[in-house]
Amino acid sequence: MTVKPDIPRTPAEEELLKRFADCDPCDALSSLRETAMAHFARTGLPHRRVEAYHYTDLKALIRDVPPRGTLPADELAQATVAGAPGWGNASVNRLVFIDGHFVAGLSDAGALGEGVGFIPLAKALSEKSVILERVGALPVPESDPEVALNTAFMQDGAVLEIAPGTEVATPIEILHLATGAVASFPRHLVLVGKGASVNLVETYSGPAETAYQVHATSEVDVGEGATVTFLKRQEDGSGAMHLSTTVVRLAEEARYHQTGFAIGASVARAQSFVTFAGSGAEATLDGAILGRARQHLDTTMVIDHAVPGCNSREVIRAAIDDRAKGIFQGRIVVRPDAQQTDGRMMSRALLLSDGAEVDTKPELEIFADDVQCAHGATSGEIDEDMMFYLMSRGIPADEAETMLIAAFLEEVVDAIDPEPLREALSARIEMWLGERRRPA
Amino acid sequence: MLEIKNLHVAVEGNEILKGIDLTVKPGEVHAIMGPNGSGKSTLSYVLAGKDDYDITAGEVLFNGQNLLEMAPNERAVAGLFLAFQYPIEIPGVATMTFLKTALNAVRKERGKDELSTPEFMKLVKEKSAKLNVSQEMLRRPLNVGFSGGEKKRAEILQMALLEPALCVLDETDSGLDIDALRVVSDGVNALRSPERSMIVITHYQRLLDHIVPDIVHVMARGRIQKTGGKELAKELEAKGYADYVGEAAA
Ligand SMILES: Nc1ncnc2c1ncn2[C@@H]1O[C@H](COP(=O)(O)OP(=O)(O)OP(=O)(O)O)[C@@H](O)[C@H]1O
Ligand SMILES: [Mg+2]
Repeated sequence: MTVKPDIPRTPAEEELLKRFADCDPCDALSSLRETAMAHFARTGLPHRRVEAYHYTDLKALIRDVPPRGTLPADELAQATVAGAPGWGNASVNRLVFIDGHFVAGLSDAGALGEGVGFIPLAKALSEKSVILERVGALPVPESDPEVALNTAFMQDGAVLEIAPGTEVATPIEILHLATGAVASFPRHLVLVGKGASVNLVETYSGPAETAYQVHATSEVDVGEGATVTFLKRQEDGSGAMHLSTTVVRLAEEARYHQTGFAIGASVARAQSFVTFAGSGAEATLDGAILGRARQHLDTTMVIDHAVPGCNSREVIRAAIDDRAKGIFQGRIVVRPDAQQTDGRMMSRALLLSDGAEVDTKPELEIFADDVQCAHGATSGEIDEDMMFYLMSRGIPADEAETMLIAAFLEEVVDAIDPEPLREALSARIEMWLGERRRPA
Repeated sequence: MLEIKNLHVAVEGNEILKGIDLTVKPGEVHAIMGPNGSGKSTLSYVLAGKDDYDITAGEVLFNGQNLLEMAPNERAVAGLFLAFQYPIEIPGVATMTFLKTALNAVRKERGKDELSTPEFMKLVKEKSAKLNVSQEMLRRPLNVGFSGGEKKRAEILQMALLEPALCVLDETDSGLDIDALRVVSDGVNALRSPERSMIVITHYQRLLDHIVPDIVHVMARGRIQKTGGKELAKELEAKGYADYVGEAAA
């Protein structure tokens, strides 16, 4: 690690490098970790001149990195889970992680059913399980500093294997909770076998006004003809920094529907990398983003059409209030072989106050000729004609606004599967809208 | 009921209404006819409280209240209803949800109990059947994908639900086929009562055969140029607006 970084290291970078040097990463993944950290040593935290991080300058935003947490005592763990965002009437099987550690006693690992294999990453590491060969095997952009940090420091996470043909009836929720100002580096690996189907949920939540950090990475490998829905519910606490990466590979004829629901954290950046590795696959990546106060909510995605005949759709809706900032970066790459690609991306932002800001960067990189690709982005305020129409029927201004904001988010919310999860998120949006009308 | 006195309205510096005087008494049906661009819709929007207009002079009293100082929803609660010439499409808001929200908002402000969902459903079923509005249509997003005629029928359904004191119908007949015109007119006539007044804006005598007005006004170039009985509408149908536009009328 003698290569000099082009910019002087920040205290946070020094701290991360020192921590890596101090800990003993002599586990089954040590060579992976060392490669990752070597990358990080070269790049450091990404800053505004790194294109993908232009709007979310981590070098400036991450001043320090809190220590990693330890497994909390039972009582605290129970109280923490009791306060977690719920699902109303929906039943989910939970895998609970608190401060980055799997809490077996509060999880439904035993209820996942036949055909669903689960092992906490920490256990896989200590047992040197063969499954570890699959970690980092997906086309992860290893130069990405966030993925590198996660790889260097990952301790625990969910390793799930869905056997071919298994239809998992109950959604599986990976629930991340924080109890205090800690940094966690959860790493999940979900391997979905041929023809299987599963509804996955990742939920993030934690205490308000607490400077904890989440540096998460999930790898989802969707087998031939398999169907996966992946709902990411980011409700981190108001002082939190949420940095997460979802890496997805889709085999032939796979169906993948991701919804990113971003409502929490002080600074959040959720990035997704989806690669089509087999033809005839379809991916939909939606986003519902609700920002207020001074939140900074970044949604970034790269869709890589590496093979012919795949469809991708991205529908993003961002409702931004107060002095919050919403960012959407979407890139569709169509490689020379990927003929008959159909890729469409549409983002819309609703600015709810004069101080609200939205930055959008859609990009198409097309190297094949027989393709249909399109992107569009709009941003604007609440439509005055619609407001007038609703009010002319006796509906007060605040209620009319609430109806129009909910309507704006509807296209994304309506597509959430299965229905009970959709209802729970609708209720959560209603709550947000209610708080907007009656500020605390 | 309604008293408009010397109302002047401008948009972006252009004066569109140039001194409107109009008094509507309880139970009266007034028709306003006039060439395109004469300011009829502007008048109806100003009455309903649309924001885009500068009221440069005049006043409007609605049952003694200063209408121009009220928010659009307050006007609706007070009993004013505008059936839009071009109803607005609102994707993502189900028509049924909208109707219930509007009705309960108005009821609440009028000091009545809000309707429960079953009570509301029963009421809507009854009113929509009379206007040939299907339940399927009510499940769709508000006005989205409605045909021209469906939009107009939906407006009258809203009017029937909100039980206004003064109905302003801006070209409710445009886009209606002959049968729909009858259904809509019957719906409007069913709402006629000694307490309820109407202002019917139209280009065609045809509508006034169904909804027979007490008083007819000719509006042109931002003013009411002539007022008469229902025979005035027949005269306009025969002779057009030539007498009211251009220099001769100045
Ligand atoms: N928001 C606006 N901005 C600029 N001009 C406007 C606006 N609203 C109305 N006008 C102008 O005011 C005039 C009157 O328009 P209005 O819609 O009231 O006419 P109308 O009598 O309803 O016509 P029609 O019979 O075609 O419906 C027109 O010249 C129109 O272009
Ligand atoms: Mg008009």
